[in-house]
Amino acid sequence: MTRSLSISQRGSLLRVQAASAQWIATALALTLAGWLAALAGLLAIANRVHDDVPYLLAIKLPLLQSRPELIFAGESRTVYQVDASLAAQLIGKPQGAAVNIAYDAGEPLALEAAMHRQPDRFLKADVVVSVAPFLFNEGVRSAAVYPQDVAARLGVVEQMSSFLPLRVGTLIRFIREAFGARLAADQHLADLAALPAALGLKIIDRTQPDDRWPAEIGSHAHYANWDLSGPKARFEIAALCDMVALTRKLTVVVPPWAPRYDRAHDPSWRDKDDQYTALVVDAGRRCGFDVLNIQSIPGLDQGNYADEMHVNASGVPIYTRYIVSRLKR
Amino acid sequence: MLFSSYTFLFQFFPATVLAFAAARRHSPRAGIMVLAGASLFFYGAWRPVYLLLLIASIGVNFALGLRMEDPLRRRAIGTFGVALNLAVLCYFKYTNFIFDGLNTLTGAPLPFVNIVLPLGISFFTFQQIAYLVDVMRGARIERDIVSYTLFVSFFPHLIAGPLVHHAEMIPQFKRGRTGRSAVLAARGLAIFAAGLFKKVVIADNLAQFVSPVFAHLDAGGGVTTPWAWLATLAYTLQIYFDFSGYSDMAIGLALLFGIRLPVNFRSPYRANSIIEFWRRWHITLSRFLRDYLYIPLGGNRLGEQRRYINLLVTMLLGGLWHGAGWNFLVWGGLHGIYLGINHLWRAWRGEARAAASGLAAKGPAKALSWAITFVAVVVAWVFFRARTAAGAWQMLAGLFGFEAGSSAYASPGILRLMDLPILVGEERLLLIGGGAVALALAVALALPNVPQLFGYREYRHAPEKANLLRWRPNGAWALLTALALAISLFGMWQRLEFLYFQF
Repeated sequence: MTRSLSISQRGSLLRVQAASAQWIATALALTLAGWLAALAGLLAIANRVHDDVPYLLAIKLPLLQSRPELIFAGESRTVYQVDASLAAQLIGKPQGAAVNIAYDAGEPLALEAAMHRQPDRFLKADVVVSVAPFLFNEGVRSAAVYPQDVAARLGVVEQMSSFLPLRVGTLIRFIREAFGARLAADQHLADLAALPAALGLKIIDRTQPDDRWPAEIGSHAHYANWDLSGPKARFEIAALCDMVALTRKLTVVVPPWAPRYDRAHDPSWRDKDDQYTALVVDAGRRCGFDVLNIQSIPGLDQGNYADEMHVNASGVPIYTRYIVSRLKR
Repeated sequence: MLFSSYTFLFQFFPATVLAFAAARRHSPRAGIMVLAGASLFFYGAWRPVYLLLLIASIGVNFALGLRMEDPLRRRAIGTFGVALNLAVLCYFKYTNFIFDGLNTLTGAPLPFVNIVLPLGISFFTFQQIAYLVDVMRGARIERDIVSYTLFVSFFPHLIAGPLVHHAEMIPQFKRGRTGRSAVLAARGLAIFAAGLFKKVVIADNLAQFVSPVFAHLDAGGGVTTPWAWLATLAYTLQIYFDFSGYSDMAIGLALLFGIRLPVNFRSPYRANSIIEFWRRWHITLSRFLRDYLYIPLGGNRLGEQRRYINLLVTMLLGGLWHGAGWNFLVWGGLHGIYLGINHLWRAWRGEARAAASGLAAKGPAKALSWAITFVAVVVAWVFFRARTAAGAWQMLAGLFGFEAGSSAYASPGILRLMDLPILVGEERLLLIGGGAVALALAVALALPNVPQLFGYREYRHAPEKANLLRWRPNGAWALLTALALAISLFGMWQRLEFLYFQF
């Protein structure tokens, strides 16, 4: 009797254990399903509220109130390398005649949206846009640099199939940036925000430690999983072409990497770089914009670089002088 | 590493669960060794150098405990150990507070010492003081360093409690395999999900109505009465859902390893008196203060006058335990006064007997008691939250309309829903904030609290009646748990720290 009761209790405990384990599995599976459904819902909302002019660009647009003749735009290598004040001086114009509206990981689609928003500010200006490989290489999918306006053009299904599961951070950033961009638009930051300091220039004031410098550029994250056939290249090149009609003159700049890296001894880098510059140069030929493919700048040495891509404070005047000297005016 | 971080949830925690399960198959002791190792890693992930402090603290207290076997030296060693623990706590937590006080009193130019407060130092120091005091009183000395290390450093409670007692933890580490691991884990997962939801969805969303207003006041600004009430009530609920959410997460996580932590909250805002409030709020701290401070001071055994002095001293020190600042002292002092008044009132009304015989106030009197208690608690929170005395007084002036309208709180009118910004305008933001606070208050007052809802065994001594709404491992609860987890995972991108981490 005692023995049978004990077996019955054990059997009951095993059943309860099994039911509990099943409950945990069900709850976790439902969590995954619920999370995916919520993500799809949030992406759909983000796609609706998304504004092509991101927050980081919107807060720089008040610089256009001075009706500049020379507008530097694009990605980080303009943000941290172009001194608009010096540029104005070099072209013999007063302060405010040149401005720097570039922002980190800035993309042509966003700039084009800003041009449509304020056409008169761009139509009478020469616009100089810097570009980088990550803007065209579909293989770069990290949250930090994936162009948000390209992500917005994919649609929910393509967004989820492109970035899940490992690049979920890119989708989360897209959702957050979409709401941030909508807020910037609703608050009219492009007109009402305070003027950025130094006409938009920011300085990188420290050099990265030796162990942080990549050994070579061919395997740099910007060239990872090299693929120029995706939506990034399609949309961003189209934006560059569309901008030609929205500006007095459009120049696209491909800035150099730090001098310690040698293209000649890095075939992987050279091949990929040639492909992407060819893409931009070909678009320039077709659409009518100039391309400055700068592989090195006289006087800009390794000591002027803060990291493999960006100059430090000492490099800013050298880079600015060089860019202005190369512009056809 | 926050419980509500992706690193914790998707890296540290699964790795620990898998390692624990594998080790436990080998032997229960291997399981606790894995947990001890994981807990030390968890602490070291914050600042590896402070892991040395934690290990030193554990090592020294464990060694002192062993040396207390000699009855002749027990008291001396125990007293030395308690003093040493307090000295370390004082150094890290109160040096600048003491220097600042001396500066003010004497004008001596004592320097500001740049000391980083080690995470959870108040918790792990108090737990070990309790251990030494209990050994002095004759409790069993722990001879197993692994069990002792895990008692102090078990990661679910290490940073922000609950404050655990060695007698309720160490025996759990030493028992054999439980045949109910999946049953406990299911309950633990559900409790964890509820705690995560309370922290990430409720508390973190309420924070937007609190932080900017108090920052504005601390910077010398003023607020209108509606904003003052919104911010203060929002904080009242934020700190409850944040801290009780953390405690629930800790309880849930521990259950996943088959360990039961003590209950820390019992719907405190339902309290009808301050005495009752302290039986429901941060229960494990109240227990510590009662057993290791109030009673050793004499409790209520040395006459009425001493009782009130003891209460006040206990609450002042309880306030200081939370942080080195006059605001915490005032907060503790206020609660000491409240408790004194409450006891006096009971003595005058003879309600102690009435309460004991179940004839406590009912109807309107009960509602009035609740309202007085709640407002008293809310007012005290102003001092707890404000960073400056001027900010606290400004908030009180705003609450009671003394300076209302003199300068408005300039809100940009941005609602942050799970940190996603939406421009709604200041007036609508006030309305939404009011709605959010009302909803959160309704949850705090009307719904059963998490340990009650999930039938947590450690809640069985609570006086609440059994609730109809009760967790069962069925499909409906799986769906609710999944929803809580899924929504919380989106809220985790806010990365707001737990309020009690700073203590």
